[in-house]
Formats: sequence, C-alpha cells, structure tokens
Amino acid sequence: MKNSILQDLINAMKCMPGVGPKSAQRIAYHLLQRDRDGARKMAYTLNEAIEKIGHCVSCRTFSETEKCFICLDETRNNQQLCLVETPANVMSIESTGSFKGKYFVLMGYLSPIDGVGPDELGFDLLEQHFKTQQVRELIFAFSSNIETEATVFYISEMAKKYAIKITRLAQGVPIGGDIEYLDGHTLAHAINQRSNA
Amino acid sequence: MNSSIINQEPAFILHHRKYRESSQIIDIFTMNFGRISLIAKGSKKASYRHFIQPYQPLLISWSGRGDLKILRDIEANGHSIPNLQGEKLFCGYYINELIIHLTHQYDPHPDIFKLYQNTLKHLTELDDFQVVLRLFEKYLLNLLGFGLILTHDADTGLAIESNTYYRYEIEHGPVNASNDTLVTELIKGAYLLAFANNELDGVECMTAIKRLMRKIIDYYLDGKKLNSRILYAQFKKVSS
Repeated sequence: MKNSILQDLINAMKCMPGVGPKSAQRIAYHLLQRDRDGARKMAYTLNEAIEKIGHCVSCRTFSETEKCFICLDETRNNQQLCLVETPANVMSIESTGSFKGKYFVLMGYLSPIDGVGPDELGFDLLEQHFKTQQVRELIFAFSSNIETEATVFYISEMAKKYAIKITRLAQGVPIGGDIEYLDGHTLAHAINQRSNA
Repeated sequence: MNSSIINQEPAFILHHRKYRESSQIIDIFTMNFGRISLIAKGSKKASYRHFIQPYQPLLISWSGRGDLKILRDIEANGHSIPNLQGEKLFCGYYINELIIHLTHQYDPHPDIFKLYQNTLKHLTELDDFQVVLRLFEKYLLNLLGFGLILTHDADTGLAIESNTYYRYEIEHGPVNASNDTLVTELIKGAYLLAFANNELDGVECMTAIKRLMRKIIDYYLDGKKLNSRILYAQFKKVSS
C-alpha cells in the first residue's frame, strides 16, 4: 500500500480518546504540513513518558521516581490517607489546596464482571499501609454511585482491625447550584447531612 | 422504521462501561427482549445520567436494528429499590453475573425478569441473603429448563425419604445412595425435601444445599468462572 507510514500515523492517532478516523487524519496532516517541530517534540516526549513514567511504589499514582513527590513530602500528614480512583482525582483534590494528607490511588474500583478484583487495585499494598504506617483516618473520595459502594465496604472491613477512623466526602448543594435543579437523591442527602450554620 | 424503536421497556442495568470520552456501553436485562447492549452517547452529560446504575427498576427507550442499539432515554419505573448494603453488594454482583452467563442475548425471559426483580427486593428486605440466593438459583435453573428434581428418586420414582442419603446426578436427579461405597458428596433426603418446600433451616441444611447448588451451577456455567464468587471468598478472608 502506498503511503503506509502516513496511514500508520493516522491509525496511531486514533488511539487517543475522542479521536475518530476523521480527526486522526486532520491531526496527522496538520502535523506534517504545519508543525513538524511540534510533532518531533511530541514523539520525543511520548517516548520519554512511556519509558520513564511508572507507578509510585507507595501510593500507585503515576511517577517518574520510585516514590511520587507527594509521598516524599515530609511536611504532609501521614495520619490521613485519601483513597481515590485515578491519578486525575489526586490532581483535582490537590488543586483545591485543602488537603494536606497523603493519597492512595486504586486505579479503578471493584468490578467482578470486568475482572477487576482486590489484586488489580492493590489492596495488599493498602493493607501494608494500615499495618506499618500511622494511618488514623481513611477518607473515601470516590464518585458517588452504587458501584463504588462494594469497594468502600470491602476496604472499611479490611481497616476495622486496625481501628482506623473512616470518612467519606460530603454530598450536597454545589456552590452556585440552584436547589430547584438539584436531583432528589442529592437534595435528600443534603437535608439529612445538614451542618450548623 | 417504527419496529426499530422501543419505548419505555421495563429493564434493569446489569453493567456499564466507559466508551470513548463521554459515552458508555450499557448491558441491560429487559422484560420482553432479554439481555441487550446499548450505546449511550454523551451519557456523562445527559439528563438521565443519574439513572445509570444497577439494581433499580427503570423504563428504557432505545432504537436501532444492529447488535448495539442506541439508548434514547431512561426513566424511573415506579418506586426505587433501597440500595444494597454490606455483604449484599456482593450478592448483587453474583445474581448479575449468573444472568449474564446463563441467559443469551436477545432471548426474552419475562419470567426470569420477574424473578430477578423479586430477588432484588428480597435481598434488601431479608437478613439471610444465603436463602435468597439459593432460591434464586433454584428458580433460575427451573425457568431455563434445567429444573431440579427434589421430591422423588430419579431411578426408582419413589418419594424421597428424610433419613436416606442420596447422590445427586446432574441432569438426572437424586439417586438412593444406600449401596454406595463412596460417601462423599451425598445429601440427606430431608435437606432435598426442605429445599423443595423453600424451607431452608439450620446451618447443616444450608451448607448441604449450597454445596449441591454450586456443583450444579458450575456444570451449567461450562467452565466459566464467577468473579463475584472469587471476590466474596477474598473478602471473607480479609474481614475475618
């Protein structure tokens, strides 16, 4: 087939989320026509990232070093461990600047039908943290749905014998949110979990 | 064409997974069309997004003629079922996995749909979920055409006697095991009769019926592993 490298490039672009055949072609032509330097930089960086970025041995988030910068930061509170589903969730919570504890990234949640069990989510490593570290409070920062409930329940039962306090993110009215447009479940939660004004 | 649009079909979501940036592929179990897969385009921002969760009675509308239908809308179907909690969350995975592995796509099973719905209600209402699961297994096999024989000897046709031990032969039934030299995997007549009458009482009876059902279910799974069963076993190990 003619132009097989070009075709390979277009196919390769399709592996990105949200990029279909048409967009892949557009990106490939754009890079070749107008931004070869940018493309070279992207190729180099992608290669570097694939080679050098692994998982933090302590919290499982993406990291170039054995331990990530949050786990290495000695000013952070070792007693609070925040459990999240993805590295993107770590960045979201970090950007609020309101949490100074440490994280543990599961990279998903229990889903037997997809074959995701405790081994895939690093529960062994998490239990090692319970045993060896001074974790006093475990904070579940998961998306709010029934599917994550089994994960919360499993880990809570695991943490029981280490006498760790277990908390989860509050649910309620978003800032700037209109009560009229809030779904019933959230509103019911907000009423039941109301706080002192 | 009209025939390719289905409106407000009673259904439960069995499973969903991400597809591309903002869409999902949803496996549902419907009353009149059996088990089907839908693609929910842009579901992350859709008005129905908070309905995309398992164990809730829903009315689902879709269109399309191919293997993968296109989701149009989801609404609540009557009162919601209280959320499963604690160990019962694992039971939910288990019954969903059995439905996925033991029914075929596009094979209508209105009676199994009703069984599924009732089982979910019983799971939330009753404390002893083991009994609920055994009865679900029994009726599910029945409705799939693999009904168990629990009241008479499959060889002789004689009524099952409480104090006699039987050997349960899959796809045949219980056979008097008084003359068996091997005594493993035998089951007491009283337990078979109790199971026939839906009266599972006592630890020994429950254990015997659980072992029997596991053997039979495994046979029909034809080598497929139940991940929910593996997960529950792992959970029991760490929580004890």
